[in-house]
Amino acid sequence: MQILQAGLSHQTTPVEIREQLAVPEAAMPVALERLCPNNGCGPGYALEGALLSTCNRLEIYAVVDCVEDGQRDIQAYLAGVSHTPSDVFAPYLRLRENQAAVDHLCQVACGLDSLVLGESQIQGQVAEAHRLALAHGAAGPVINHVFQTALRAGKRARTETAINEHATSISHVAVELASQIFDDLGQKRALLIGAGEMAELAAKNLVDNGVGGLLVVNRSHGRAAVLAKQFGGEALGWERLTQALCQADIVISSTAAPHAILRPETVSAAMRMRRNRPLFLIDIAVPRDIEPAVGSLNNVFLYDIDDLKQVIEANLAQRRREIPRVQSIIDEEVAGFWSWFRARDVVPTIVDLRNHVDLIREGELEWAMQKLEHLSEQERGVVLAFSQRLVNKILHQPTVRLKERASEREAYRYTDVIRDLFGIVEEDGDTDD
Amino acid sequence: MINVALFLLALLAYTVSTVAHVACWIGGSRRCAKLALPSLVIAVALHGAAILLRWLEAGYAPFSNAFEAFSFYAWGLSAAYLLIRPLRRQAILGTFVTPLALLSIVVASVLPKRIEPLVPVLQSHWLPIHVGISFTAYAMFSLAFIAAVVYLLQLRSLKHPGRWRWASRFPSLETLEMLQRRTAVVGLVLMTGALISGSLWAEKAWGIVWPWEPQQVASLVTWFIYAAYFYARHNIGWQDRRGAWLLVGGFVSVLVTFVGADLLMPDSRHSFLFGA
Repeated sequence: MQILQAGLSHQTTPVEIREQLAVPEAAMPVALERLCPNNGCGPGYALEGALLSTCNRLEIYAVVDCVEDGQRDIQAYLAGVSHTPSDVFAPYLRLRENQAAVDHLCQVACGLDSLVLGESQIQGQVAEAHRLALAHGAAGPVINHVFQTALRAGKRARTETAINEHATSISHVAVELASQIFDDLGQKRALLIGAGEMAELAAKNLVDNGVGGLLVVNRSHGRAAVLAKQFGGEALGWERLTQALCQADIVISSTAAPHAILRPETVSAAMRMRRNRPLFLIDIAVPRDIEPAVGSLNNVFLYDIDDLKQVIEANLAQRRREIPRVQSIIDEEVAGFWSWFRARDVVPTIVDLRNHVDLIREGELEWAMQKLEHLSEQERGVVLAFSQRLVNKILHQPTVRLKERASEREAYRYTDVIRDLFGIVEEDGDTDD
Repeated sequence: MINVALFLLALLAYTVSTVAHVACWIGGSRRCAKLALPSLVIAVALHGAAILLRWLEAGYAPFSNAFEAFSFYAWGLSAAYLLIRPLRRQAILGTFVTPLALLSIVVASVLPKRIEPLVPVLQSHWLPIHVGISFTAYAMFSLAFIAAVVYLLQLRSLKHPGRWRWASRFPSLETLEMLQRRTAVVGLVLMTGALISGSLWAEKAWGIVWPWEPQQVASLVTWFIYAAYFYARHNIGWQDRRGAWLLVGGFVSVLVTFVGADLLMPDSRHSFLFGA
C-alpha cells in the first residue's frame, strides 16, 4: 500500500492551466466518487483519496496498491475530471510518494507552500478537503491519518512558531502600525482625504478594525458625503482640511491630485493645535499627496506605499526565519505518521499469522490430550509448554524478518506472500474504520 | 543571619525571573511567561522578608550601608514594577526591569553584609523616612527611564519602516508615554518629600537646613530635571522623543545622586554608603 500525491501549484503551473483543472466546489462529490469508485475498497483508481482544490493549487492524495499504475491512473483521472487532455498539464504535474507526499501536505497546511508565507487560510482549506473526502466516502484510515497529521502540524506551527505573525498585507500593516502608536483604535478618529475607490477600501478596513469615528474630506463634496454616509462618518468641505487634521489621529490620503496637498507648514500648524498628540499619516496616492518632509516632524508618523511594502517585506523575512522551526515540527509529525503507517502494514499480518497458527496448535493439543489421558498434571504441563515453544520457535524468525521489512517500500509483497501461503484471509472492515 | 540566607534565595529567584523574561522576549515564546512573573513575585516576597528580618535583627532601618542601599533599591524597583504592571499589558517592561534589579542585587551581594552598629548621626527616626522615600523615588524614576528607553526603541521602529521590526511588539507609544508620565510624577512627588525630609533631618543633625553638600545638590538637580519634564510635557507638547530623552537624562542624574556623589566625594558628610 502506497501513498501518492499529484499536484499543480502556483509555484510550478501558470494560472491558465490551473484554472482549467480546478475542481469547483459543486463538482467535488462527483470528482471524489470517481477517484475512489468503490467506496474505498475494491478496484478503482485509488483505495482511498482526497482532493485539495484552491485558487493556488490542485492536489490529489491517493492510496494505491502500486505506484507506477497509480501515477498513470491519476493522470487519466485528472484528464477525465477536467476534460483536458493530459499532455496539457502533464509537464507541470508534480508527483510525490509516501513520506514525501505526507511531508508535502504538512508543508501546505503550515503555509510554507503558500503565495504569502505562513498564511492561515490554507489550514481551513485543508480541513475542508478532509471533511469532503470523509463525507463522500473517499477517505479511509490512511487518508484520515495523513490529513490529521498535516492539520496538527499546521496548528502547531501557528501556535509554537511565529510563521503566522506580523502583517503581510497593506491594510493589515496599516492597522499594525496604528496599534504601535495608539492604545485603542476605538477612541481614535480617522480622516480620509480623497473619496475614490482606494479611500473606500481603506474606510472599510478601518471600520472593520473598530476605529472610533470617520471624517471624509474631498474636492467634490458630493462624493465625500456618499462615502461618509456609507460608513456612518462625517463629510467636511475641502477648506476645513486643517481643522480635520486636528480632530483625526489617523489620516489616509488617496487623492488623484498631481501634486502634494499636505505640506510641512500645514501639518506642523495642525500639530500645534493638537498639542502635539501623535498623528499617523498613510499616503497611498501616486503621485504622493503628502510631502516627505512631513514625516520628520515630531510625533508625526508618515508612511507611503513604498514604506508599507518595506514593512511587509521585513515581516515576510521574519516569517522566513521561522521556516526551520516549522520544518522540524513537520519532521516530528511525519515521523509519527510514518511509524504508524509502516506498522499498520505488517502488524495485522503478524497478528493474523500468530492467531492462525495458534488455532491449529490448540486443535492439535486437544487431540493429543484426549489420547494421553493417563498423564499426570505435571506431564500435561510439559506437553502444553512443548506445543507453545514449538510454535514460538517456528514463528520467531518470520516475525522478526517481517518487522525488518516493514520499513521497505515492498513490505506488502512479504505480507501478501504470507497471507497467500498460510491461507489467511484479510478481515473485513479493516478499510472502513 | 537568616536575612542573608533569604537574600540569597531572593537573588536566585531574581535570576530565574530575569532569564525567563529575557528568554521570553528573544525566543518570542509565550511559554516562559508562566515562569517570569511568578518567580519575580516570589523574589520580591523573599527579599521583602529578608529586609524586614534584617530590620528586626539590627534594630534600625536597614538602609544605612552600600549593601543595604543596593538591596533596597532592587526591591523597590521590582515591587514598583509589580504595582504598575496591571495598568496595561506591558510584560515587556519586565524584560528591562528584571536585569536592572538583578544588576543592583548582584552588586549588593558582593558587598559586606555584616550588621554593624549604627553611626551616631544616623540614629534617628528620620532614617527610615528620608531614605525610604528617596529610594522609592529612585525606583519610580528608574521605571520612567525604562519606559522612556522602550518608547525610544518603539519610536525608532516606527520611523524606520522595515527595520527595527523586533521593537514593533513593544507596547504602543501612547501606553509608554502614559507610563513615563505617571511614574515620573510619582517620583517627583516622592523626591520633593526626600528633599524636605532631608533638610529637616540636616537641621536636626547638623544644625543647618541646606548644607550644600554634594548629594543634596545632585538631588536638587534631579528634582529640577523631572520638574522641567513635567512642565515641558504639559505646556510645550514634549510628549514625544524630547520628553523621553529628558527622562533618560533624569535617570543619569539619579545615578549621580545615588552613587556618584558618594563615590566622587567620599569625605562628604552625606557619604554613608562607601565612606565608612
